[in-house]
Amino acid sequence: MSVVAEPSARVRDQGRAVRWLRSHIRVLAPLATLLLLVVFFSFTTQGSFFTTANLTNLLSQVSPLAALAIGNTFVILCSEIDLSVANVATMSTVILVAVMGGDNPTGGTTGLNWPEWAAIILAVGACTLAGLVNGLVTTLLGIPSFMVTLAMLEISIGIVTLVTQGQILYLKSSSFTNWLGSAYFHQIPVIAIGAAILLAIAYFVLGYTRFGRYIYMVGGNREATELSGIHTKRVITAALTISGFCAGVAGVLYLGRLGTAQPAGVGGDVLIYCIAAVVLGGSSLFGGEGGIANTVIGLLILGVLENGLDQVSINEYSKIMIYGIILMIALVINVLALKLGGSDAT
Amino acid sequence: MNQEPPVLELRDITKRFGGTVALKGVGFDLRRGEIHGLVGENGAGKSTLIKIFAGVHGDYEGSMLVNGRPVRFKSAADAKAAGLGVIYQELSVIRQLTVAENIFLGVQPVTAAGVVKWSRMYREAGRHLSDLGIHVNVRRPLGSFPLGVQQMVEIARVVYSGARIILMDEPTSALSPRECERLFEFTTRLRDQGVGIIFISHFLDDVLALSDRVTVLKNGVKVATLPRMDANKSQLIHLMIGADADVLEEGYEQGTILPPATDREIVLETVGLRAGRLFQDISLQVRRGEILGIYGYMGAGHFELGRSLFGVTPSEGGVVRVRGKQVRIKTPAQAKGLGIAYLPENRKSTLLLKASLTRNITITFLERIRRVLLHEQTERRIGAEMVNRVGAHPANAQLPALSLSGGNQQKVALAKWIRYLPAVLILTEPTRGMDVGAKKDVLDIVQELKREGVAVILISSEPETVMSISDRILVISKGRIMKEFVNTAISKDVMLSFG
Repeated sequence: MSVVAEPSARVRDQGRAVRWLRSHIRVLAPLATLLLLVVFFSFTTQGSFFTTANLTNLLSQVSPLAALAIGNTFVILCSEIDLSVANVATMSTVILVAVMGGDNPTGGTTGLNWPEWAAIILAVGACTLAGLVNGLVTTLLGIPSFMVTLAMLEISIGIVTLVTQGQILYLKSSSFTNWLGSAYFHQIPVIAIGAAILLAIAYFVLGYTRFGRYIYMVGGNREATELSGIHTKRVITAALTISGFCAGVAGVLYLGRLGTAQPAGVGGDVLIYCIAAVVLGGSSLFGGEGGIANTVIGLLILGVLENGLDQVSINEYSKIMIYGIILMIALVINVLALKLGGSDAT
Repeated sequence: MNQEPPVLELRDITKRFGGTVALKGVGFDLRRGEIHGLVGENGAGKSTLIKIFAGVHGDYEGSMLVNGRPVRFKSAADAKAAGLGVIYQELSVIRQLTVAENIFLGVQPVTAAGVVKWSRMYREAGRHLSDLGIHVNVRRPLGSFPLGVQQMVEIARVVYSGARIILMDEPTSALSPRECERLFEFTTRLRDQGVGIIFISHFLDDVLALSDRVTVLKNGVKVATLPRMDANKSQLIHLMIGADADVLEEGYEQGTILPPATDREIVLETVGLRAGRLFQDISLQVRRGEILGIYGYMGAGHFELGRSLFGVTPSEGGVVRVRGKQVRIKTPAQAKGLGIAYLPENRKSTLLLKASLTRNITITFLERIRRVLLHEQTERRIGAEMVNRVGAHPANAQLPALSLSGGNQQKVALAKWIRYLPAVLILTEPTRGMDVGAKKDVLDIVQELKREGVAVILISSEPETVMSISDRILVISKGRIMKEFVNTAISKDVMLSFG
């Protein structure tokens, strides 16, 4: 029987602090990156970055993307992917205006002229249905979610083209949706409050409910979870359905902000930004690790980066490349920090 | 018997892994044009020997000679260059390619420009195979032929690429009796052409039918090499598991006596259950408070049977009844709902290594703690309770599962299923890789469960484990039940002779 010396109290406490840091490295590393970026831009933009006006603008910019990223957080956490979100969101904007009735630029209104609440329900409902289809086809037919959601992406484009007939649809400025996208509540954009509520709900579900636990476990080891008697197919289907729902809601928020629904969609790179937000924030692309907190940090990194670069006086054309380079650096920092912390680096 | 030097010879081979001695002073020789059978139970050292032949282990004590020349293989390429080919149980063929392409894998006949000469390849492949007695259309994809043919094509490839020594590791596990016969004819033909063959198998009947000589390994030591006519099955088993000659008297067969049958309620019953090549015609019953042991060598189909009973892989026919009611078990969730619990042989299939012990344990019954929300406090309490109950160490339920040793991980895996007593508990290799103390812990828990009324199905390829706590034993071989043992004395040699 050997004698083991007790480590001194100072060493023990040090050990505990280091252990806490290590176990939370997945959130801390991206957070550090975010803070670095904020500091960087505070200095290089001669003060125009860190103003209330700019920060609230940043929040508004990021809010619709946040709604989208919530959906993919659920999906990526359980080791799947939803590539259809951006186009499903576009579908939501288009259905919403078409059903509610839009402002015709040359006067009068277009569309079905149903009450706005009905239009919202229909739009979000259609997107949720799209998510459900994604889920069922993935789990029941065993086709990888990558491919199924890719197909849904195309279907959504088709529906958008069909409904808009190639035209731009204008949101009624008197609508609730418009108010959502442009109003302020005590200096905070309403749209940001909306996004924050959604984020809070998602955070609660993922962290404090049985369903949330199942999501993490399906992503962590699908086979072991299946062999523990969990309906893993139902969990994955639910995640993809939620993603569809979030895309629907995101569409409403985008519409409120942009004011138009058009075939070109909510923006070219929205899908990439959505997934980038989840991954940059520290969630594992392979599932099982991460969460809403990570996604929020990722969203802020993207938002700060975009917003900051807009204000730094550099060549317009080099901006995109610089954006990409900084993104790459942020990823490298994340990965290195994870390895240092002892986790798997993905 | 010829007087040439042996085509392959091992002298005084000793292989250590840290503190464990896997092989000790093993001597072995293979003659030209001979089939030499190699037998030994699990853990006797056969795999280590194969790895030395195959060039996987280059660091060992002792020497190996090929045609009288000393060699030491440090890689598979070395072994191949010396004319040695290994055919594993998992075939290394490419099913999407044609038979001819498989024969010429990596060595297709090409023109100066590098274009494949297809007609020449097909012609030569066809000729080579018919020389060996195989007549197939070499232009068809290999995958379109049954397993037995694929295996022979792989052997043909190895011979074609110059191997004069062939090592076959458990070649007949997945073959039907007819395919076995074809393989034996083929192997004998190879032997007659001067190839030296080492035939490793636990089917002693096959080994005795085919081999010219048989070598027995036990606990890393070569016990005997016998010419075929001097060997019979029971003698081989005796050599494989018996004690050394000078301790013959001390109950070496380690027998046990099975209790009489009970008439308690039948909890799980199957009639004629089958699943393709994996298992056929399985009819068994398990009763309340009884441990049914199912023993079979690896690949016998009993692991797949366990999976089928838990809904992991579907069965194709037959009847399953749980508590008298007929059911079709299609998913693990459904099986769990019927009161069936299951532990696979592979820990990776049952634990999330990065998650805490608590989370791993509670996943099976989260719905019983709270319907919708989680309750961390209750979970942690249960986690600590279960960790203590199964004696896992270190007993900190918040640690991630990967910080525990394999044996302790296995205990945690068991803990998942026993908080609420299941009706049926199916265990597959529950004590694999565990030390004696941990094995005893797990088996004690299982016996405790039995006393509380659980019907246990214990599936294992370790005879000792099955014998130690089972009330009844089924021996499975090649997917069929060979024998049922109840209310009788049983010993390891008897089990091996049926497996």
